[in-house]
Amino acid sequence: MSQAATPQADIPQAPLSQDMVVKCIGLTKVFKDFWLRNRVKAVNAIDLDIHRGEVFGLLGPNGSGKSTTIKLILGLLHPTAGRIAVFGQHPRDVKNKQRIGYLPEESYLYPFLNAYETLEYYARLFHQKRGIRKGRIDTLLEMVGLQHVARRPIGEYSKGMQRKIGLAQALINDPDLLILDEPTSGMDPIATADVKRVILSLAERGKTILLCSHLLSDVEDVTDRVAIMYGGKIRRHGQIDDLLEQHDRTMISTPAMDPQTEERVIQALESQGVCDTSIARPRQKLETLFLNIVAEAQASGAATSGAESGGKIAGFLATGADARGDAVIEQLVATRSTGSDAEHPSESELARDESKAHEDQVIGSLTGGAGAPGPEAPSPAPQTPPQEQADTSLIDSLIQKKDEDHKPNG
Amino acid sequence: MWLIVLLALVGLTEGIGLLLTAQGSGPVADVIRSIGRIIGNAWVIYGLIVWREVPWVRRFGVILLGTAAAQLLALVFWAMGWTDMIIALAGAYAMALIFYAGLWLIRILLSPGVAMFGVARTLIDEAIRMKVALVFIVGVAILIAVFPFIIDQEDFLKYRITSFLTWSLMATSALLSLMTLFLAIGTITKEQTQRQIFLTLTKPVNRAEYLAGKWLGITLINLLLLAVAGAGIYAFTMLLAAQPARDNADRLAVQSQVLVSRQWVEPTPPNPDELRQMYVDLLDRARDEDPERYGGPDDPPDRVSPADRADLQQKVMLKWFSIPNQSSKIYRFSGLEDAKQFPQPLQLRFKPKLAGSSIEGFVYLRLRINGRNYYKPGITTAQGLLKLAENNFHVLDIDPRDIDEAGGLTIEITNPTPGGVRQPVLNFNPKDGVELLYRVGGFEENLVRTLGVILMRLMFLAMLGLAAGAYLSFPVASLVCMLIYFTAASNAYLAESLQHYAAFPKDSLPFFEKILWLIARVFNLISEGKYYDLFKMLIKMIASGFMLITPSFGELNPTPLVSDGRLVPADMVARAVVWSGGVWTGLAGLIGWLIFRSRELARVTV
Ligand SMILES: Nc1ncnc2c1ncn2[C@@H]1O[C@H](COP(=O)(O)OP(=O)(O)O)[C@@H](O)[C@H]1O
Ligand SMILES: [Mg+2]
Repeated sequence: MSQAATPQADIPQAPLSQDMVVKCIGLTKVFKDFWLRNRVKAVNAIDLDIHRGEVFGLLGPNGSGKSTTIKLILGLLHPTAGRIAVFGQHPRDVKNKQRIGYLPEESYLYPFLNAYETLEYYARLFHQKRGIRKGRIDTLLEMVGLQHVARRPIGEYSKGMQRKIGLAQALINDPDLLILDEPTSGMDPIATADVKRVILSLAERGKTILLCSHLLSDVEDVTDRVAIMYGGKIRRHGQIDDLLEQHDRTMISTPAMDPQTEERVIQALESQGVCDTSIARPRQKLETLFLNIVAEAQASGAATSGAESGGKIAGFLATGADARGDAVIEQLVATRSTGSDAEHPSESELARDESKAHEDQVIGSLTGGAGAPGPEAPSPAPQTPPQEQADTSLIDSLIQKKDEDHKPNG
Repeated sequence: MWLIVLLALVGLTEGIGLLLTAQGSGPVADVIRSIGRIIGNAWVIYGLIVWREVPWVRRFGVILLGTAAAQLLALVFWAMGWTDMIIALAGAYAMALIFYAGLWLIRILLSPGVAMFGVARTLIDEAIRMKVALVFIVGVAILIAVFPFIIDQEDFLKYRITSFLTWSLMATSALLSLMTLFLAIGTITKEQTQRQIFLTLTKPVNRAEYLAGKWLGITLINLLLLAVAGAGIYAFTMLLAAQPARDNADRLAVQSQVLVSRQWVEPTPPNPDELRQMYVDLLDRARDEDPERYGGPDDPPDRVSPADRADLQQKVMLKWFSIPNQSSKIYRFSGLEDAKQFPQPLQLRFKPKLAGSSIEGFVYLRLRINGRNYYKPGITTAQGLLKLAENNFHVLDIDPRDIDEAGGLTIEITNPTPGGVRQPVLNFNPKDGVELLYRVGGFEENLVRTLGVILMRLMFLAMLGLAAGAYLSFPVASLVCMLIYFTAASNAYLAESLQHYAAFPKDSLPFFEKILWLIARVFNLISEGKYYDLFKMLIKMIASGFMLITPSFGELNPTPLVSDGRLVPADMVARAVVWSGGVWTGLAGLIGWLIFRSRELARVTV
């Protein structure tokens, strides 16, 4: 493939810096059939680099090669051509996996295990000691709001619930690189918002996140950079704001105007030679609207269906202002930093490899302390601050409601 | 707190009880003690109820409850006088307890945060929750249950027990083998098609650890199920042994010939040169008749083709175990130092046959031990001969004091002329026609050894299944494994039937020469246009090659031994550990790992 096809002609020459978490050069994957005939060119000579601490969005319609790229990065597939480095290592390096969390495109969990056992299984794979394991599992179950059904086999879960366990599983090792393949598929809007908040708060803590989706709405609010794939190639990539900005249009936002005022504004604009003008009410995104409606209903005391949400932890992950949430993350971090080096090579490597300043920043963000944006930092969620307020109350009450719902059968 | 109350309660009542006993008021002390015990038990039960949500308390409670229920039932049976039922109940209880407690123990064992243990534990959960283990237990229960229908209830109790042991051990081994194969192949192929493996292997788990974890899980499950089955078989054997025997001798035989483990010794000639001399004589005669095949009279005796030599040796043995009329043979058993130390009698086991027609189905012979006539009421005739049913195994007790200083025992068997009738040649099967056995241990230890050998076999099968499942689909891997399993189980038999299928170089040839011979032979057949022979030749080559790489279970089969009350030799257990559990398992694992190591997991081949 010619370099012109990808807009990153300068990247391959760049040295593999410590700051690069994932680097792919000329990555190609061709699926062959049984007779070794070429079937599909799923990934076609892509160059990709994901920097430490950024949220990278991989966008593209179905079948554009997103999942294949992820599987190549994880070592589940072998590239036909090109090179990949993850934390500077081969993608199948086993030690490296200590630092990676992966949520696959579908639920690949054991149907006969319950949620608790599932998380315990994955925790064991990370060689976690009993005490650490237990603490983290409880925290994560609480975070995804499934602690009351934790003893039911996963096979009985709905798809969304399974996805939540999938997410919890991906976070069990407090990963430095989190790879999420369509994380919100099958989730309700509330859970979707929760996932976004989790992503943002993890990003705040210095984690690197590769987010892959065909839903623009999933990606636009949370990512720093995106690459848009189609047919196995990256067609566009860059900062999300740059991509979304329409350079040929200008939007003026004012409080609602009466028709006469609108008329006069249009006339004024036309007198300036601006034609093709239209006036309309700004629209919220559907998702935002939905959340507002539910929040209003909650405020007026109406009952809801009791859909699950991870309000509590989402609260702490979002801002760090929630004292309870802080306690939970503190716990996660504390168990992490008291663990032995062998268990967390990532930390020791970090300490060894990086400059003091960087180390301070990373450790700071890990401990949720001074290095990270302070508690007064605004919500990283897409909503404006007032909406965030509404959200918290909504989620808290949802959780209470859910507690009641699940007591009889949970 | 709860514990303190319990300890205080026990201490107090026992203390008061002791005090009262010391003061001479026994009955009051007993009353106080029993009250204390009742309150103590109630307190324990209270504790179990309060903390019933705590997993280990619940497990303990279940065990306690089960035990109490079993005791209660046993009491009822005892009151009704149903001893059989008590044994059956004890067996069922032991099986349930072993399963439950064993599973618990395994889980505790696997609880450390080690990736391999995590994989193993999940496999065990899979096996239990997908009801694999249940199917096995039900299978064994059914097989044991149908057993009474397949044996003759009128038969000697001794034979009934022997056939039960043979049957149940074979069934257990076969069922567990199949279960192991399907579990191993199933788990690894399913995880690839259902993609759970994507998650496991994107954690810091290398593929060898993954395979090892799966194998460990299957092996632990097998260990557990073998223990359960062993308890069941033991209980049922005891149940059978408690049944009425045909007669007193039968009852004795059960204890002395079946439910024991006995060492056995085969006879040798008192003069070691005797057999060699017989061989040379036979060879000389053969050389006279066919010098081309056996060589000239002046050639050294070992210049005979290996096959012919084996032939001649077999003839020598046949001759040595044949006693013409009016002559006798001396057989010596040595290495009996151990047996001399035990007071219990040795057993001479033999099966006399006649090379012609017998007198009303009986064989007469004279048996002398250390020069004295053997006497046993009922079978010794007035002439001092033994009158024995032809073609049947007979077991005669021999006093251990007859063993001489060198740890040997010499017997002389004479083919007599009872009542003036010349008997045809008397002979014994060279393999097991005449043996001396003596007790070296109990049945229980022998059963455990047998189960151990079976476990080794299962360890190999587990690895085989995993290796095959690592790169083949479930049906294909199952077929391949079945083929290997059946070849391994019937290796000896297959080798024999292949022997006559097509001409093949002699076994004694060095491997390299064999190959050359085969190549020459193939070209020969092609040039002669004998394509059918060529085809047969090729089939045999493939089959032989396959058998060469397949382990042979036949040699490591302890079932016939244990069911015949013979010691499963430590040597066999060691060979099973080294070969089945070590070499073959390791080899299968290595092959599996080599292929699995670089396998592209997310590839879907349709
Ligand atoms: N294991 C496979 N074998 C053959 N073709 C595959 C395989 N996995 C994916 N593909 C093909 O590769 C292309 C990209 O797939 P994928 O990466 O899953 O897309 P998406 O962007 O929706 O995640 C699709 O055309 C798909 O059919
Ligand atoms: Mg996909």
